[in-house]
Amino acid sequence: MMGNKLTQPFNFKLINGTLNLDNLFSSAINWQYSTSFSLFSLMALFIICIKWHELTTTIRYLSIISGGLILLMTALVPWGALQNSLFSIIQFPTRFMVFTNVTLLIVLLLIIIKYGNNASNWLMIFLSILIIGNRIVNNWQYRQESLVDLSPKIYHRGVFDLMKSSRISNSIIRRDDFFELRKYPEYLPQQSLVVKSNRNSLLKPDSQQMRTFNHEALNQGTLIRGKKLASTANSVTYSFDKVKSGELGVPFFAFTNLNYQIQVNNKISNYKKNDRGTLNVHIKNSGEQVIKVSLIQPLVVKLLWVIGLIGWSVTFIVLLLPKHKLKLKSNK
Amino acid sequence: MLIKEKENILYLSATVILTGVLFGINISAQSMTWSQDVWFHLSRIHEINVALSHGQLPSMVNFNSFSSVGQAVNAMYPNGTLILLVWMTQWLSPISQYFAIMVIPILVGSVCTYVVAKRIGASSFQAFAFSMMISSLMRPQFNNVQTSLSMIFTTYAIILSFYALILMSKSFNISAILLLSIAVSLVVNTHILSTILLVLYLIVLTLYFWHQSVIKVDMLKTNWNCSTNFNNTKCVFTV
Repeated sequence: MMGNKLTQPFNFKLINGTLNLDNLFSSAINWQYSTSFSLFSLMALFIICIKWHELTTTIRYLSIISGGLILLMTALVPWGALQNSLFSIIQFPTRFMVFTNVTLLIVLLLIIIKYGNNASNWLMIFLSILIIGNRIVNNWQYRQESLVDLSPKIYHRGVFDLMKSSRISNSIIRRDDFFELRKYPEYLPQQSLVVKSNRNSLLKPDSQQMRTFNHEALNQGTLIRGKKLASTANSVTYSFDKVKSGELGVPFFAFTNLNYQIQVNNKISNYKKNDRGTLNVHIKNSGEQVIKVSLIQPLVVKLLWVIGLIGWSVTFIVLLLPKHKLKLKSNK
Repeated sequence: MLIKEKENILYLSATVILTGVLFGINISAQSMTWSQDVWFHLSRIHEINVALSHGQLPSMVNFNSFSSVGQAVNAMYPNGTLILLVWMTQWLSPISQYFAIMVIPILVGSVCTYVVAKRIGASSFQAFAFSMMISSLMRPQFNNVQTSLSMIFTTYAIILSFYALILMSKSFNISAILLLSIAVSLVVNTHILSTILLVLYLIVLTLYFWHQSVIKVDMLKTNWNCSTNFNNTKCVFTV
């Protein structure tokens, strides 16, 4: 990603993604939180506190890791000072929540193995069903009764409040233009920004990137709008009316380490990567142009696919062989 | 064998059925909540759907989604695991497919969680309870957000890695190394950032298990005497 100089998700304010004690604990029972502390993690913390002296070294170590992870998610870490560093790629410190929860749940399992009884197991199962079931039922009802269908007016204008949700159906997702609704500014060539040192504002492309998303091509100093005719797994075809002979900036993002093939009216044409992060082709004759862009898959990527598939297959087969037992003799 | 014990069959079936019913109900939905994140992931699924329906693998850049302008979201979101899940669910409607892609790894992960809990000394009932607790970490969709595929894989990768590290600290075990590599590779093929965080987390965990390791001593002996038989190393895990 960095080798190809892509725009990266730097623009989330890290400090806004931290937890304070209030939302750390309230998130455990609030079904609307997306990243929440588990109710079972709370239980684990409570037991760790009251039984610390009886716990084994393993449980104590895991508890210390969990404590460290909780601290990392709070504003006790100077996240504001790290905003312009490489650390900002994590976007929100609450990314550590999954590690915290799973570690504390492993701690809880180890405690249950040591001290648990049937009643505690039933309680855990009952609470789990309650938590999962409630979230699904609440969300289902919220979707049916509180949300409105995506309105055609908003759909066609393509202007959305990023944080506001609406309801969509299968027929909307199946529309041809559904996947053009939004313009996603991350993982684009950095040259595509007007001011190269700038970063995109939160999830919004800048004006130059927007022209590419709208299939607008620069032709002899004039902007002309093209339209997508077809696409396959590895190519896309656009058409442009009234193109003047000379240079045409094809609205297709070009990455530093990738090579492309361009056909103009079914003939392979030479191209150049321009300083706007897109491709330039030379048009010989004025008039309508049908331009097909394909990616030449690098050999190393093809090899990685083959090696990866063989690696996964062999590993699974070896693990399933009867003589390879992943067993641990317990002294229980 | 786990599957030969009656009690295991009962609790393992209960894990699969309960998890399947609770999370699977969303597969029957005819509508879904959406905003930025959901659109992003629907676009990734669509890209793979188109490629697979033409008998091809998806390209490194996006030709059928994200406005068909060659965006490179795969740089952060490698699609190895998603390709497999999309291939399994291609016959479903878009909304059902979206939810099924989340449910399948949760189901498989729940079974793995159950087995790992059993192997580190839990009873069948305790393993069932642990598996349900882990499932309760998965947030179904609310508004724009939910537990993402990378978080689902990371959750189960942590559990498998934890078990693999215990095994590796007790004896020289090729299977455990392979299990660890499978767990990490599932996350590598889902989300690069989650992989970096997982590796950092595993380094911290490994430091402890290395410190506690029985074979660390054996390895030192091996260097000294060249005579240690790793297969005879006793495997005991005390909780």
